[in-house]
Amino acid sequence: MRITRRITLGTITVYTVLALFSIACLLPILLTLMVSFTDEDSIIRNGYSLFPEKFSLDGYRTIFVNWGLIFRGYLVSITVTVVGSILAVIITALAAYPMSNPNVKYRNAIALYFFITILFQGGLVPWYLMNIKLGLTNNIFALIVPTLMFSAFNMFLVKNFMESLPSALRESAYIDGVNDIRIAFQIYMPLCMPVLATVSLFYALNYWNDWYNAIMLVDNKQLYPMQYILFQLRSNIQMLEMLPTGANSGYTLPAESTKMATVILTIGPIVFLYPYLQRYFVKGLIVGSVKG
Amino acid sequence: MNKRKGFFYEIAINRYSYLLLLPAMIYVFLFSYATYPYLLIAFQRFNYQKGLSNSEWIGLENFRFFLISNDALTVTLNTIKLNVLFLVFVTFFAVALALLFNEIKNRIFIKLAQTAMIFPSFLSWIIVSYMMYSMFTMDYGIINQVIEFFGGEPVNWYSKAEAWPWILVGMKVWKDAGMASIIYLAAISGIDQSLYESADIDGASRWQKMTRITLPLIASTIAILTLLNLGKIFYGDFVMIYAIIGDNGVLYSTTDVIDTYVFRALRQIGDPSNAAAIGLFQSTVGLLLVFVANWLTRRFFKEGALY
Amino acid sequence: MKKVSMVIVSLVMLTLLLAACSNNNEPVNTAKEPDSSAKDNTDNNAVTEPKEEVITIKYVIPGTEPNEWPAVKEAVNKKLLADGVNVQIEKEYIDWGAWEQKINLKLSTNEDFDMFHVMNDWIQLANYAGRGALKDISAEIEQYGPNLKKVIPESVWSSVNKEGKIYGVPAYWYEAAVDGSITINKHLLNKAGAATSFSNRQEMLDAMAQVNKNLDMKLNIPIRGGTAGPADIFQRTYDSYPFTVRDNIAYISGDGVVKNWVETDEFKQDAAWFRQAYEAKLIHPDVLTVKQEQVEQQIKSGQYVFTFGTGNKFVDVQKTYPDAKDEDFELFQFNPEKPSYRMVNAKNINVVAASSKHPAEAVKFLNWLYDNQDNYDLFMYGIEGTTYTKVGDKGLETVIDPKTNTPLYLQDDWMIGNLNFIRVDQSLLSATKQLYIENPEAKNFFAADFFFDPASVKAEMGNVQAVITSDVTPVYRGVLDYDKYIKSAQDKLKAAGIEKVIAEYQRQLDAYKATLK
Repeated sequence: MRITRRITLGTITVYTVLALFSIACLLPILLTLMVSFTDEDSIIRNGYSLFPEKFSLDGYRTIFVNWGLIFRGYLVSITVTVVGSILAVIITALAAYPMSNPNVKYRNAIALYFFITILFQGGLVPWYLMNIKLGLTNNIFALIVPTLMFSAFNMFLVKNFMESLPSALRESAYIDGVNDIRIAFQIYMPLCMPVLATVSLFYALNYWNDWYNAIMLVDNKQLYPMQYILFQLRSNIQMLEMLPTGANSGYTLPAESTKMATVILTIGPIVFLYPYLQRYFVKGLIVGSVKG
Repeated sequence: MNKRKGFFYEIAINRYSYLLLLPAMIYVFLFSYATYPYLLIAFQRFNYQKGLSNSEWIGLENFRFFLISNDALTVTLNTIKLNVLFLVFVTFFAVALALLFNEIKNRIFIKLAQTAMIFPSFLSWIIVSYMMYSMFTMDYGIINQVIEFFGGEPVNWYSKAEAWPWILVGMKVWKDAGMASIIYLAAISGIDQSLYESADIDGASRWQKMTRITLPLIASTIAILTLLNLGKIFYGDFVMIYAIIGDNGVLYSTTDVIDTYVFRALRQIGDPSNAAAIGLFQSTVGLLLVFVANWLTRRFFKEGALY
Repeated sequence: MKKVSMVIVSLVMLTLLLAACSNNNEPVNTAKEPDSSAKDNTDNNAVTEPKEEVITIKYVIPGTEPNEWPAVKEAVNKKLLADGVNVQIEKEYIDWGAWEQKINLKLSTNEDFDMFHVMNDWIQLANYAGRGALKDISAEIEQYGPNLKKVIPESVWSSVNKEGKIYGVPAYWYEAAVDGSITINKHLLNKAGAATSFSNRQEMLDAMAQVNKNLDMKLNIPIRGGTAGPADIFQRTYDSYPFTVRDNIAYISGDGVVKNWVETDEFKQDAAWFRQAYEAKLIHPDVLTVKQEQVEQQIKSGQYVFTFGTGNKFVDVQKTYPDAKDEDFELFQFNPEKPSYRMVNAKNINVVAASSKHPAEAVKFLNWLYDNQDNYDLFMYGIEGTTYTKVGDKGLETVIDPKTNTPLYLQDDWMIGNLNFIRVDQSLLSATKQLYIENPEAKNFFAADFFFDPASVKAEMGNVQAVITSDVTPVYRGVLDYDKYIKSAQDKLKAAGIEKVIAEYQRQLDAYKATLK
C-alpha cells in the first residue's frame, strides 16, 4: 500500500513538472496568437496582452490580401522542407553507418574531417561563388542544396546512436555474407528510427526557418519561402533609425498585429511535424531484431 | 591486423563503407573545405580590385584591434562563462525532461507536452526579445507588475547587469531544452528493454533504474553533445544576445561576448578582413580545446569520444 | 513502403515543377527586357539618328521593390530613349537586413552592376574607396554631368572628392541646417498652461514636467536609436558655437581644432541635462533598450512635449489629439539670433562600382534625372494619377497600396533626391516640411564636407567605437551618473587609443583645410 502511494506521489510530481514547463513554453506562442488578433490601437495603448481589449482580424487581413504570395510561400517552404530533409537524412545516415563501424580504419580521421566543418566557415563570398559554379542560384535547388543538406552535428548524433547498437548485428550479417550497403539500409536504418526522426526534425526546422539561402541566392519572387516574407517585414525597420522623421520613404512601420500574424503563419504547418514524427520513438526495437 | 596493410588495401576491403561516406564527404568538401582558402583574407589588406591573390599581406594586423583592446579579456571570459552556463543548464534540463518523460505512460499527455516544449524553437530570438521587453520593461513590465502586486519595489531590469547572465540562461533553457531533450528521448528509446526487464526481476526501484540503467546508457550522448558544443565555446550566441541586449551598454559588463564586441567595433569600419580574422581565432582555439577534451574523453570514457 | 514511394515521387515532381517555372520566369525578367527596349529604340530613334548602342545600367539600393516599379521602369526607359539618352535603368532592391552583406558580396565577386547607394554616416565613402570598391568618375562628370554641377552646390562636392578624384554623386535632398532643431507640441503645452517657447534647456524640462503633472500624463522624450549621435540641439546654446561632433568622439571647433568630445565641457553639460531628465522620469527608464518601433510610433502619433528633430504626419497626430492643429507643432532652435550652419552635408551618396563597365552611362542617367522636373517626377514618384498626384507646386500625395500599406511606387528621396525638384508629402506637419525648404541664410560649417577616413587607425577606431557604446552612451543618455562613471569611461577610451584617433582626425582635417584655400 505504502509503495503504491509513494509511486503515485512521484508520478504526480513528474506530471506537474512537465505540465508547468509545457505551459511556460506555450505561453509566448499564445501571446503571439492573441496579439495577432488584437486591434492595433489597443496594442499601442496597452502593449502585448493575453486578454486583448478589442479583437481584430486586421493583422491577417493585411497579409491575406497578398494571398497569392502567401500560398506560393507555403508551397515553396513545404517543398523545400520535405525534399531537403529527406535527402539530408539519407546522406547523414549513410555517412553515420561506416563512422560507427570499428572495422573502418580511417573513421577517426574522417570524423575530424567532418568535425572541422562545424567550426570553420570560409565566409559568405567563397560560399556564394561555389553556389554560382554549381548552378545553385535562382532555382529551387538553391534553397535545398547549399549548407542545409548535411550537418556534421547530426551525423555525430546518428553515429553515436549506431554505436550503441549491439555489434553482434553487424558481425552476424558479415558472416551471412551481407555487404555494408545492405547492412546499413536493411538492418541499421530501421533500428535507428528514433534518432533518424530526431535529426529529420532538426533538418526540417532548419529548412523551414531558413531565409538566408533565399536572400543570398534567389531573386525570383516566385521562389520566396514563408520565412523570407517575415524577414522582409522586420528588416526594413533598421532603415527608419537613420532617416530624419518625415523623409519621403516607401517604407512604413508594419502594424504590430501584422507582424505577429506573420509569425503565426510561419509557424503554421511545422507545428504538426513533431506529433507525426513522435511515432518513431518506439522502445524495444532492438530486442526484437537481435532475437529475430 | 589491418595496421600493416596499406591505404589501398583498406579502401578496397571497406569499399562499400567508403562509398557510403562519399556523398557527405563531397558535400562538406564543396560547401566547407573549398571555401577555406578565403580565410586567408584574415591576413590581408583586402582590396576588391586585387582580389585574394594580389591583395597585400599584412600578417596579424587584422587581429590587432581585438588583441590591443582592454575589453578583449572581459568579453572572452564572458563568452566562455555564458557558454558554459548555457551548456550545463540546457543539458541538465534536457536530460531531466527526457528522464521524466520516460517515467510516464499517458501517450496523449506525452504528445501534447513534447509538442509544447519544442514550440519556443519556432520563435526567432528577435520575436522573443520583444516578448522579453514586455516582461522586463520598467513601467508596464509584467514582472514589475507582479513585484508591485506583492508590495515590492519595481526593479529597473535593463540596468541590472548582474541579473542578465541568469536571465539569458533562463531564456536559453526555455528555448533549447525541449528540443535537446528529444535527442535524449531518442537515445533512451534505443536502450535494450531487456535490461529493464531483468532489473524488474531484481526488484529495482524506479529511481534505481533511472540512475543505474538509463543515465549511464545515455551518458555517451551527453558526452558527444558536450564535445560538439565545446568547439563553439568561443563563439557567443550573437543572434540571441544582440537581439536581447542590443546596444544597452549598461549590461555589457556581464553580457558582452566576443561576437557582439566585434560587431560593435567593426560596424562602421565594415571590413570583411577583420571579421574573418576574429572568426579564425575563435574557431582555432575551439578546435584546440576539443582536441584536448576529446583526448581526455577517449582515455576515460571511450564511448563518449567524438573520434 | 508503397505509400512512401508515392510521396517521394510526387515530391520530386513538385520540385521539378517549381524548378521548371522558376527557370521559365527568369528569362522573362532579365533577358527579354533589353530586347524589348532595343525595339523601342529602333522605333523612336532609328529614323532620325544613326544607331547608337543602348546600354542598361543597374542601380542597387536598399529596400523592398514597390509593386509598380516594373510599370514605372518601362515609362522611365521609354522617356530616356525619347530624350535621346541611350541609357536604360534597372533597379535591384536588397532587403535592409542583408544590405551590407550583399553589397560586400557583389563587390567581392565583381558582379556586373553599375551604381549603388552609400550611406556616408553609416559606412563611409572613404571606407569603400579604401577597399577599391569605387570608380573615379571625375572625367565622366565633367563630360556628361552639367546638370549635376548645377543642382548640387559646389561645397557639397568636396565631400566626395579625394585627391582630385570624384567618387560619387551626393544626394542633396534636405536642408541640413534644420539639423539641431526640436519639434514642440504646443497643443499639449497650451493645454497645460506651460510656456511654449524656451530660452534655455531647463525651461524645456520644466514645461514638460508641468504638462505631465497638469494633464496627468506620463510622456517622455522620444529618443531615436540608442547609439545615435550627440544631441545637436544644444550646440547653439554654447559660446563655442559653431562646432560639430563626428563619429561620437571628435569635437571639431569652428577654428579647426579637434578635441576628444567626451572630455569637453559641452559633453558634461549635455550629460547633466539628460541625467536630470532621466531622474525626473522624463526619459524612458529603459532608454537604452526601448524598441525602435515604439519610439517611431510615439513620434508618429505626436505623443511628446518635444522631440529631437522633426515630426511626422499631421493626420497621425490628429488621431491622438483630435483637436490639435497643424500650427501647434513648431520647429524650434535655441538662440535663433545665432547664424544657422549646415554641420554635415552629403550623408547620402550614389557611387559607381569599380567593376562597372558603364560609368559614363551612370552619370548620363543622373544628369537626365536632374535635367527637369518631369524626369525627376517620373523616376522618383512614378506615373501621375496612378502612383501619385501633384499637390500645388512642390507637393505630392503618394497613392498607397491598400494591400501592403506602402506606396505603390516611390523612390526614396533620401537616396537620390534633390532639393531643387523634391516634392513633399502634404500630409506632413508644416514644421516637418521645413526639411525641404532651402534656407538661403544658412552657411556651411567649414568642415561640413569633411569626412574622416579611419583606415590608418582602424584598430583604434574600432575599439573606441566599442567603448562609446558600452561606456559613454549610458553616461551621455543620463542612465549612469556622470561624476561616478565618466572617469572609467575616459580611461577606457584612452586605453582604446582615442588620442591616436583624434590626432589622426586633426591631421586629416588640417589637410582638408589646406585644400579649401
